[in-house]
Amino acid sequence: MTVTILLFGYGAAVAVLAPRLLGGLWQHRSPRLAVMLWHAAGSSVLVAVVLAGISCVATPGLVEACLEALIGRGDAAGVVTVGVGLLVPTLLVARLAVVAMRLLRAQRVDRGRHLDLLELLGCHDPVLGVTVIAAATPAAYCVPGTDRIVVTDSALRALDPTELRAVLAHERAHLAGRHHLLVTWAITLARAFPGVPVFHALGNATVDLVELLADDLALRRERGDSLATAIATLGGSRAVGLSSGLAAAGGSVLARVQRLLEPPKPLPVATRIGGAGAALTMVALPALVVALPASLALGLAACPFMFG
Amino acid sequence: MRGFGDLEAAVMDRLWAWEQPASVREVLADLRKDRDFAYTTVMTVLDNLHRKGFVTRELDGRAYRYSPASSRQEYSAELMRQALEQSGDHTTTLLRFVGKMTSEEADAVRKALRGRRGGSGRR
Repeated sequence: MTVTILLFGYGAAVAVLAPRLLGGLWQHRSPRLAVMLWHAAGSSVLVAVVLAGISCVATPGLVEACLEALIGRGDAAGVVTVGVGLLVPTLLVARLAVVAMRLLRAQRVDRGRHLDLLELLGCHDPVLGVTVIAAATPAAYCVPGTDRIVVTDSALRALDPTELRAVLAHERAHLAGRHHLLVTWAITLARAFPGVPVFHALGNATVDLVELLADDLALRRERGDSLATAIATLGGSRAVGLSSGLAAAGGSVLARVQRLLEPPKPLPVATRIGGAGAALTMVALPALVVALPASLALGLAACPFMFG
Repeated sequence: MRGFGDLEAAVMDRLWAWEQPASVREVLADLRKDRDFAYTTVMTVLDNLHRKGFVTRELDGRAYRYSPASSRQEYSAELMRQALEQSGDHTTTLLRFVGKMTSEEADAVRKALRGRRGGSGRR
């Protein structure tokens, strides 16, 4: 029972505290570490709650008590405990599965339709290796799950060659890094449990951080100021008034540009190693909480047989 | 032409231009001005377009006559809506180079770039 309470408490603490501890500008100095920590925090909450449920059921004697209660003997508290213990992890996993499947299906349908439309209206540019579509709005994007990068003809006119190369490098980084999987998982968590602070924050953070990851990869070959001016050209052409409900994403593009113009110092190696360690610990801790008492209990349980 | 996708586009271009229903044979005759295609190829292409909802067809005697389900402009608008949309279920369908900015943010971005250019003397 103590283990169960510990695990639930740990899960709740991470769920509430992680957004406060992880938020902040340091993420711009090492987006890779930031992504790792966010997802470690999210996973550790899931693991803690699932293990809490399991430990609740697996408490020695509880299942027996529960069976006794069911046939009319013993206390009813056992039934409730086992019921809750089974229900919580089951509901959690079921909810995740339903939301994930709905999102994946929507993506598949949307991408299929989008690819059909591209076949009809797009034209392949063999030199650039991209699909060009005619549109007044300068824009560039990639279609995850394919190797397709799409650029509008107005973007081709608006960007100079180095800017265009930077844009394409950024999109290729998205595709090569399979960033859509990370984003899909993060959005799944955020949608499945909208009231849980860590999942909400993790969703927003992941969407912003994969852009920084792609920028960093593009910078290996291309210039930062080309990427920055390309962002201004493609993003500024369709800026909208404040009223359109963009509060959540507000400021992330500006931060991205500032980061390219004046790159912040990367975090020291020691800090990064420490961060990675913290990520690992967060995920491993719930398992340890279960494993230690369980191994002790096993050791004790073995004793009677040894002497029996 | 690069395989089926381009052939679909070529067939749709003709249907859009003609503004009246056309049979496989008519489409084929026009396509053959550029290159020789088999009747079955064009039939398959029109069948695919019908399956994807891009053309409607009606029986005229023993053969179907096909016409575009929507205009090119309408499909273009749908394509761009998908390409630029950033809300609801479609957020994660595509990964865009840059998201929407508020006009305030766009101004701030331009200012940051100007400051940079002035400072470093580039351009």
